[in-house]
Amino acid sequence: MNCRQTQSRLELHVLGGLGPLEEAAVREHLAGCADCRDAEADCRLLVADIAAAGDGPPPRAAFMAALHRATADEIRRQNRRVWMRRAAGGAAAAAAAVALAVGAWRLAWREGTTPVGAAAEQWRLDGAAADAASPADGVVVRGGSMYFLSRHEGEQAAVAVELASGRRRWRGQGGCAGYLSADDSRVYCLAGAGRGRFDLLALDAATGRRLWRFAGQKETALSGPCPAVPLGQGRVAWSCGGAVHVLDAATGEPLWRHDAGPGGAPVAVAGAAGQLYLAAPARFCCLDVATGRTVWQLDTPAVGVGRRRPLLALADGRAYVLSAAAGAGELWSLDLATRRVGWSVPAGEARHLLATQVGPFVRGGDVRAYDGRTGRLLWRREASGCGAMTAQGGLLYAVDSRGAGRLLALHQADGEEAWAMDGLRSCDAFRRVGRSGYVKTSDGVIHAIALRTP
Amino acid sequence: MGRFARSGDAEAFAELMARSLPAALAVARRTLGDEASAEDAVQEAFLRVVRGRAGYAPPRPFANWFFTILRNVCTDLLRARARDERLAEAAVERAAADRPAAELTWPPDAADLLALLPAGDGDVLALRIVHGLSFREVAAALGISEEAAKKRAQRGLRRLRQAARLAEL
Repeated sequence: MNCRQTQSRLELHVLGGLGPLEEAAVREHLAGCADCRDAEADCRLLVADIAAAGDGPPPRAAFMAALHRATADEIRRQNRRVWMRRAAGGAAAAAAAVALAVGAWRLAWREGTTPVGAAAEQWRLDGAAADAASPADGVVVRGGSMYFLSRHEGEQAAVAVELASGRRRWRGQGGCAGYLSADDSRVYCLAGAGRGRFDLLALDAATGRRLWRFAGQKETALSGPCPAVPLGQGRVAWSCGGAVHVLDAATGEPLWRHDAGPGGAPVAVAGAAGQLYLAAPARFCCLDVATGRTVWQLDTPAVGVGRRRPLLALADGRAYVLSAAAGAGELWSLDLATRRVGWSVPAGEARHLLATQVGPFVRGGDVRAYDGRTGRLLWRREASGCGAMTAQGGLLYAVDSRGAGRLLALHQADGEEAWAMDGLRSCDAFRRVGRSGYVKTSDGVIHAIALRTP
Repeated sequence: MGRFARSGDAEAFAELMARSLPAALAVARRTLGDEASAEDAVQEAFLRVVRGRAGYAPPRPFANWFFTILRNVCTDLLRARARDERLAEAAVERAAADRPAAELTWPPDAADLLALLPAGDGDVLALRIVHGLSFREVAAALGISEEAAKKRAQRGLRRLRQAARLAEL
């Protein structure tokens, strides 16, 4: 190989792109040619410059956290599917099937209460959407009705059933993507509109007929869109694409909007007593629901890292906000009367935030309760799972997904177990209405259970 | 990847993801043109890997498989974007066509080196030199043949060498 032939191959030589024969020939020539060695050295310097220059910014920490969370959730979900397929012909599946078919779960009482022994199933419905860890599939209970997302022959629609009997009242038109919420007259759901956009649909709660459709902007939150929030006063709020829209609930007419987050950062909203509270990165606002006027606002600890939506809950005159960064969440409280930040504590990984008079409850890999006045950790309980918590009558409900699954009813004040129900796996919230409980299990079956519990 | 494919081991997958993430973002960023879309595409690609692990054939290098998936995701996103904007043909052409080379001046800032080249050549060099992908992996990532990847790399590096020589005169 001569100098010209060698020079023409130098680039691929330093990039490791030559075949073994050509590579050997180039090396042989370089060993005996100082000029070509100089050229090779220049070429390597250039490659080193390119390597040092890098290629764009490193992955954002918030993105990496979201990515790890999303893939970990998906791995868990896929592994469960594999496990379920393997178990389908085995004893484990048989045992589970018996438990569900009989419609009875083993109940365990805390000492001092009356043991009953079993919880009878009142009715059950199959066919509800039940993607693990999907916030889109949540069941809504409002008045005497239950609303849920159903998939049938590839089409998704909202379905309404009577809470008492499970009898179907209506099935809405297709195209509903879930994220249901409801007020007394309407059911709200989102509909995909392409290019990362969602529209908000309102359905007549009595008939399922579509009332109106409001076009949203491209969703900016990594965690996806969020449901509409009925505000009363004939209004509904929807946080979408970094803005909050308040619409006439009857007509869907936009009444006002508030651009909250810089750069379209996702915000969380909650309504109470004619006011709309909004948690945005480094800012907390109180807006007048009727006019959209900013009643007050204050700078706050930064929340909503990157494109993750913060969590917001109101209770007992306080707002609790949790930045939703994976593994690095910060929980803080704000006194709505004095408009001052009360306390803040590191809250670790968090998926759901709920607040009662006791204080805020945070769910990540476990369930934690904090004192609403001081931020002190009251108690902590292992209960891994993806479902939201609910609270009623001094109890906190959460489903622990470990093992065969277990519904826990915990005393809010001390975390002690009031009662539990074994053999129940769910990624949705348990809802208690009177002496009945409602839960959608991971197989997409909704169970109504008569509870003779304390 | 074999460990993950066999057992669904989350730790094994996290290792794979950590190794592939910078290059994956680079590929998606170059194809889609903005960081947010690139992140969406990369996340979707990794989720498809998780969902499709049963279809992974162990002797096949993970990177080849993964970058083929990522390329498909990017193509889907481009198509969806183009369809919605009624600019399908233009978008596909934009994505496929090399950007015109900037005028070469020397010495450039280090970060601007690859920006001096037509996109096709710069992409190959970035993936090979900065992200350490093999030419086979580069080819899978960009949807071209291994020979074409080598040709682009050679052409791009030669162009930079010539520019450096001219600047020294």
